[in-house]
This record gives sequence, C-alpha cells and structure tokens, in this order.
Amino acid sequence: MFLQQLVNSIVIGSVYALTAMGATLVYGILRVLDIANAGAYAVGAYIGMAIYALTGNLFVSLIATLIISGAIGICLEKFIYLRLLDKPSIVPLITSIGVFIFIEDLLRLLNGPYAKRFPAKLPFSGIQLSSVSIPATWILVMVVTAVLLFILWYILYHTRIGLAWRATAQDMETAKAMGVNINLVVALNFLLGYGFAAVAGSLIGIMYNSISPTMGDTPAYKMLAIIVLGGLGNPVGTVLAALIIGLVETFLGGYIGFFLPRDAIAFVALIIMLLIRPKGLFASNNA
Amino acid sequence: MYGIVVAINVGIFAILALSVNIITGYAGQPNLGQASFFGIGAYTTAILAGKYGVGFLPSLIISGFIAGIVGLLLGLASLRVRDDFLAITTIGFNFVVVAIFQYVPFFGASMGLSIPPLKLFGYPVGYVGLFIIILLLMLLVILFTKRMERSWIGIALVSIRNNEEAAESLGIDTRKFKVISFGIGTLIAGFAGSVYAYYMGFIMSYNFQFMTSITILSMAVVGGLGTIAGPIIGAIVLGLAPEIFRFVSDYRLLIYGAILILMMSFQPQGLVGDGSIFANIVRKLRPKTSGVDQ
Amino acid sequence: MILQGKDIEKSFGGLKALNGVSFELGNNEVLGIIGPNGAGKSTLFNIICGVYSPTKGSIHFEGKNITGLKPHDIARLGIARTFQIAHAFRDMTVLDNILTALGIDEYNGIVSMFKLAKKSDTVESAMSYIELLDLKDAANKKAGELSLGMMRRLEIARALALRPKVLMLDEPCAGLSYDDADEFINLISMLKGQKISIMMVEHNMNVAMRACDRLVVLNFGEKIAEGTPNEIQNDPLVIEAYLGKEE
Repeated sequence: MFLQQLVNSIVIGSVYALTAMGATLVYGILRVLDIANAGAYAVGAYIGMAIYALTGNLFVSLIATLIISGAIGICLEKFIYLRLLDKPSIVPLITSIGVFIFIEDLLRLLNGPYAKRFPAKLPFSGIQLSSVSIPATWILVMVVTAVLLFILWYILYHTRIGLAWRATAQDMETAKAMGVNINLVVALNFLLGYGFAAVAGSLIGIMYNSISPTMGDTPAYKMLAIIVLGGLGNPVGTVLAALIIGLVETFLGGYIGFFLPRDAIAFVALIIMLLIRPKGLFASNNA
Repeated sequence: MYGIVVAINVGIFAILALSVNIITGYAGQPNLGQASFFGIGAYTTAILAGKYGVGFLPSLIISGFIAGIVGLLLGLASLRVRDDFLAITTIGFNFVVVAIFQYVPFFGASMGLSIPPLKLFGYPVGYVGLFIIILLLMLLVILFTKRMERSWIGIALVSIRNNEEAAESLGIDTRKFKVISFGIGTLIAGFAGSVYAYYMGFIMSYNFQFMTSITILSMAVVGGLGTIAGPIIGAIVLGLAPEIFRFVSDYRLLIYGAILILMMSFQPQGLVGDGSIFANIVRKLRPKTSGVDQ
Repeated sequence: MILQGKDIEKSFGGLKALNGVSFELGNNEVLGIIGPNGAGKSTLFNIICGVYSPTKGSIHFEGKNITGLKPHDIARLGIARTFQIAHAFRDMTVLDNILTALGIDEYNGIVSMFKLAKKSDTVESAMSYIELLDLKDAANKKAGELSLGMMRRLEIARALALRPKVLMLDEPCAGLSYDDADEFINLISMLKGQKISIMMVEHNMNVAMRACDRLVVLNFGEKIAEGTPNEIQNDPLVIEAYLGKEE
C-alpha cells in the first residue's frame, strides 16, 4: 500500500513538474506570472488527441503537441506579452488571465463542453510487482517527464543557449549588453514552456482517458503555488516542489485522510511556507 | 423586477471593485483573492443572522470587521515578501477559504447556509429597499475613498505605488501603509459580503471562487485603477455585458477574455484612468483648478 | 560633527564590498565620497540610509547610534536622500511629490493620516521648495513628463522639504549636461548657507573637486585617502587608483 502510494505520488508530481516548468521558465526570464501557461495544458490534450486519432502514433502525437503548442506560446509572447513588459506587473498578469479564459472558452466552443475520451494504445504493458501495480500509462508519464526534464537540464546547463538563458534570467539588461540574443532566448523559453505544459495535458488525458476544456483550471492555480514553493523562476526548485506536493497530496489526501480537499493542500503548504521560510523552500539566503 | 436584480448585482460588485481599488489601485499591491473576503463577510452574516438571529446592523458591522482583521493578518504575513508572492498568496488564500467553506460542516459544507429575509424595524425589506441600502453603502465607500485620496494616507499610498524606495526615504513606513490598505479594502469587501448574503438568502462556497476575485479585479482594472469613477464604471460595463450580449451568450467568456486582453494591450490605464482617451478628453474640457483644500 | 561612521564592514555572500571604512561629516560641511567603479561608494551610501545594515561597524547621527534603523526611521531623524536613478513619483504632479515629504509628521497616527493634505499653508510651503529649485512652471505637471535634469531638481526639492539636517546625494550629476552640473554646484553652495550638511557620492571628479570641502576616496572597499580637494588631487595613492581610468 505504501509503495503503491509512493509510485502514485511520483506520477502526480511528474505531471505537476512538467506543468509548472512552463510558468517557471517564463517567470525566470520575463518576471511575468503567466497563468495562461495552463491554457496550453488543455490545448495540448486536445491537439494530442486529434493528432493521435489522425496518425495512431503516440510518439508523433506527443512531439507534434509540443511543437504546435510551443508555437502558440511564441505567438502569445510576440504579439501580446512582449509589448507589456514595461507596464506595472498587474497588467501582464490580468492579460494572462484574459488569455487563459479565452483559450479555455475557445476549446469549449470548438469541442463542446463535455469530457472526451483519449484512448491511447501503449506499445508496452504495465508492471505488477507483488503488491505494487504500475499501469502502462503511469510508466509513460514518468518516462516522458524524465526525458523532457533531462533535455531541459541539458539545454540549460550544457549549451550556449542555456548559458544565455541563465545570464538573461540573472539580469536581462547586462545579458543584452553582453551580446546575448534575447529574442532567441525568450522564444525558446515560450516554446519549451508552452510545449511542456501541453505534453503534460496530453499525458494526463491519456492517464485518465478523459479530456475537457476546463481541465486546466486546477493545474493553472496549483502550478502557481508550486512555482513559489520552488523559489519563483528556479527550474530545479520547481521539480522538487512539484514532487513534494505530489507526495503530500497523495499521503495526506488518500492515505491519512485530511479534512480539506487535496487541491487545497498545495496552497496550505504555500501559506505555511510563507510564514516559516518567506523566501521560498529552495531559495538561497543571499541578501 | 428583473431590472432591480441586475442593479443590485452591479451595485454589490461596484462596492467590491472599489474595495480592491484601495489595495491594488492606490497602494499598488496585487490582490487576486478579494472574493475570499467577500465570502468571509457573507458567511459571517449567514452565521450571525441565520444561526444566532443577530440583527442587520450588528451583522453588517461584525462581518466587515472580521473580513478586515483577516485581511490585515494576511497582509502582515505576506507583505514580508515580494509583490509577486503576494499575488500568488492571495490566489492561494482564496482557494483555501473556499475549501474551508465547502468542507467544514460549521459553514454548511456543500449544503451552503441560508439567511433569513432582511427586516428593518419589523418590516421586511424587499429588493428595492436592499438596493437603497447598497447605494447608501456605495456612497459611503465613495465618500471615504474621496477623503482618503485628498489626505496624507492617499498621498502615502500613491507614492508607494509609484516608488517604494523613494516613499521609504521620505519617512513613509511602506509596510505599515500596505497593511492598512489591505485592512481597509478587505473591511469594505466584508460589508459587501454581508449585504450580498441578505440579498441571496442562501450562499455557497461556489459564490466566492477565484473566478469571482478575477471578476472584481477586472472591473477595477477595466474601469481604471486608482480612480473613483473607474471601478464603478468597470462594474457597470462588465456587469451589464452579460445582459447586453445575451444574444451571443454562448460566447460570453470568450468576449470577456478578449476584453481583458484588448484593454490591457491598448488601454492599460482603464476606461477612465489617468492618460486614457476618455480622461484626456475630460482634462481638455475642464478648466484648471488649483486643487487647494481650505 | 553631525554624522559619523565607524569601521563599517559589509559583505554580500563571500564578497567584501566594504572593509573597515570610517568617515566623519562635520556641521555645515560638504563631504564627497569618490572612487572608481565598484569601490563601495553606493554600498556605504545605502548603509547610511538604512537600505542595508552593515555586517560590522556603526553609524552615529548627532551622537546617537542609528545602525540598522529602517530607511523611513532614518528619514524621520533628519537624514534625507536622493537616488542615483531618478526616483520621482511619476504618476504624481510635481506639487504632490513635494507634499509627500511635507507629510512626514502626519504619517504616524491613524487619525492624522486622514487629515487633508492640500491645506493652503502646506501647498504654500511646497511651492516655496518648488520655487527654490526653479520648478515653478512645472508645478502641476506629472513628474513622469519632466526632463532628467528637472527630475533631479525635483528629487532635491523633495528631500529638502523634509527639512533635513543632513542631505545625502547619490551621484546627483549623473547624466546631466555641463551647464546643469554647473548650476548644481551653485545650488550646493546656497544650501551650505542654509546650515545643511551634505554628503555626496560623485563619479564626476570635476564636480566633486568643485563642490566639496573634503573628500573621502574609496577603492576596493577600503578608504585610501581623505582630505581637501587639493590634497586629494596630489595624493599618489589616489592617482594610482584612478590611473588608466578615463573618466
């Protein structure tokens, strides 16, 4: 039972990590709280399903989901966010909420308000180890997350553009002065940010065999709690925070029992953290 | 009959937009959880009036103060950190408050709470009476905001919104003023919640969701933060939009999202905010005054 | 002596930005803090104004230890400051910018903060500072619409409206034209006549030499020289520190 819950929590934590990564990357560079990023989550689920229905190939559908949603992200950045950066931070924030509402409602109008099925046939089967059973969909979620996060880590820490990303996150003006191609960094940022959230939505759709226009609602806000817990704009902290929230939710919500619904747990954790460690769980203590 | 219901709704949301305006408009502190204080006010009244038979005026006042005290505490806790944290804390607080209303039996859990019809001096107060009460409350809030705008606290808050470091350097305890703005703004939201509870007769956690916070803030932003007319106009425009766009009711949220995006892209100061097209026209038409108070 | 710093040390992470710097500001004196980029001038300035607290050492104002006080407390005691990057309240008119400083005695009480701000005598007093800094024509303009030179004057007017005993100026001439800088030096000598002690961080050697009575030279977080502009000009250590630097 315990091991089963542990695996379960890792699966949930993986999806959270992938979803929250987009907002973390965007915040890291632009200092904008991008709620619309969770819109990509639902968009990704629908694109993934459509392409899967068309091609029957899961791999192709996931890659296409990442690229198409990433392209949508780049469009949002170019046509909407980039022009709002010098405005007070409430302006891009409200804009991103507008974008989120718009995306969600567009999905509803195009696909109807009801949940649809996303029946994917996986090329491998689940694992049964004495008391622990791991369905094939869970394996898919964990493997895809691990691969994507590895790619992100490699890009950030072992490529020139990753160095540029980190320099820009530190100080955009200085990076610009040093000749970093900011436009490229920001575009890559949105490509990966929206792409990752979209893949996360696709994976959740496959795991629960259900997608709906409002499926991004809860992740949209939970993701915010996670990125703050992770230290706002810190990719590694975000992954850790996502796994912790996955763990706490699974054990407090399912194992021990808790009087609040599981979706509120992330925020309770957030408020407790603010009282105890106001700079974030993994923030360094530099002045 | 139908008209008065719409008017009451717009009135309550105008008060709420004015309340968030004090925190976000004047002091410049993002608050995306105003609906939770609205809810705390409504639930306090539901418990006082519904469970203990407390009268209108005491219920109203206590509801406001409880919301205001919770607001003060949240402000104290989260203002130790960056502004962006504050935005997210207020969102998180909203979710936690709604979850408590929804799951704790004392707050009616998923059954909600009911409130007896409002009576004053033994006479039942109908929708028209309620609307008058709302207008009076709104008038009080407007007068209060006007006074605030012209006094030292108003100057201090706007200076903090403009440049916190400079405000500090002029002897303004920025943290204290931010917390005060939180207290005042949430107190007013609590009053609005109390009246709302009487108007609805029955409340559920659903009424105070995060989406309601977004609506409240959007009204203030679309109308024009940091002005008095702005939030009221915003509440009227966004409050009436669903009625006007009835014929395209299926596209309501789509239009709503688009309005937010377009307003923020092309007129981020809001409809009547400083430097908006509308404000510039008014400025040209009006003769210059010295603005000295005697 | 009105303001004194003793053995001030400040490190960020492992980096020592200031290492045992002491200084004294005399009554009615103009003291300049100069030094190459990264010498620790701004750090020292921010420690005095309460933005940072020092790792070691202390600041005394009129004999009272003010180390670690918050910026608003320090402003209240009578130490006013300006900023290197213009910090005008851009949405507010020039008049309202000045009024903000005049409210200093009203911000403490919950009742007094609701008193009307624009009483005629307060406005009159604000106008006197506006006229002093030659901003009269712009009094009802939004501060955000001002030129950089005017914004700097506005900041000085605003700081003076606190009626400070010490005025701290952080690179007041950065970005100013030669004429504006000239005007600024006249302003300094006029303020001296009004019994205000001034401490300024200045990058521009020419301005510092002409405006200040005494200079403290910092390099790599340490004080390398102190004296009158004349003495400093001929100090071999200072020349070395600035050597190869085209300012």
